[in-house]
Amino acid sequence: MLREFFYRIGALFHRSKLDREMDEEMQYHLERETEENLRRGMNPEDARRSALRSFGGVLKAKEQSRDERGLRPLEDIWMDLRYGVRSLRKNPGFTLTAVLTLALCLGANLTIFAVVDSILLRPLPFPDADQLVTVFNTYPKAGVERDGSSLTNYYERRGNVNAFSELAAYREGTAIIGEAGSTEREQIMRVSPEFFATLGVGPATGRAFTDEETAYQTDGVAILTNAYWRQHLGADPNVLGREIRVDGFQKKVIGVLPPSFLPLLTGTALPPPFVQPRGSLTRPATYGK
Amino acid sequence: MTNPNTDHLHGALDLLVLKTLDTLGPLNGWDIANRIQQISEDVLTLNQGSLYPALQRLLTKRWVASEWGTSENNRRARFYRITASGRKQLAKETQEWERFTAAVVRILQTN
Repeated sequence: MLREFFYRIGALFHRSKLDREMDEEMQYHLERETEENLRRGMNPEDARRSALRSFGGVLKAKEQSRDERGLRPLEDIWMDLRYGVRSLRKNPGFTLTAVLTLALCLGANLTIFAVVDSILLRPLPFPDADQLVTVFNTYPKAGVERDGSSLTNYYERRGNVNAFSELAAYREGTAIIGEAGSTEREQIMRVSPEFFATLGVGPATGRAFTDEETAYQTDGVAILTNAYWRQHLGADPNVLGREIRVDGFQKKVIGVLPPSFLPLLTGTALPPPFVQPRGSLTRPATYGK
Repeated sequence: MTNPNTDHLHGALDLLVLKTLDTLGPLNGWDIANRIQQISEDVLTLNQGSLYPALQRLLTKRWVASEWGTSENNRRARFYRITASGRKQLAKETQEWERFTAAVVRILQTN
């Protein structure tokens, strides 16, 4: 069985040689038969015709031989493929459109899946992630379903809502990071000191923020995401204590986050959330646990 | 033998070809067709073209092998010879064929 299979596979690759040999073989047969007829005394024309008659259909014999030889279904697929490629080549406009459409669809699919995967399918990279919630303010009469909360809200909830074992506030934004002449706009997050305790994951090196560092005068500290530390500071092992400039202010690096921490963030994480004097945190505001 | 399109007749033609090659040694297609006709005293008139699909079938199953050589009238021709597994198959099919014909004969002889 196996040897037969290998023979059939081999026949696929030598089709034109096998066809040539088959032609030659049948040609030989007809000539030989004609000769024999001549020897029996027929005239050349009759000899030839009689040979063809006793052979039967030459084309049919060839077709049947091919059927016996190879893997007919595979051969058919191969022919279809070749035909397909030829027609595509004849209509470059159509081909281009079809290929681009396919490429776009595949790309869109991939992107959507990547987002869905990271947001919906994968659990958040924190211990007890299923207990984490985001707290929004809602204003039903104004038709606002989700809004950020103010600092007052935050402190009130921190003191009075027993349902949360831990509560932290954060605010996302962007900042200009770097010295004059070589600055870059990065995504940052301003967080309250309890932020890391609430999520259950802190800096991989260094320390988290303290309560004292939430004041306007003493907030000159920053914690870097792992990606920022690698890409902009060359993964400097002595990064703790280094100064970086954020929106013009000197900040001292006091920690670096582990690589798994909040992959959505690219820049630094800064304390305190309260740089805005009126305390109007406009973005989704509070993590509770 | 004019319509070798059923399995049974396929088998019969294969058997005749194997037997011819086993008895006479390497032959080309034309020889095989003529020997079969000759030995059967023209009872079996082969539709000669149908011999080639049969030979290809036997080649595919590796019961015969083929190589190109020179014919008795000094032309390039393809010669077939039976292989070891072809001989095994021949023995098996001969036996089956005998059982089959014996059964048919027994039935025909009942009154």
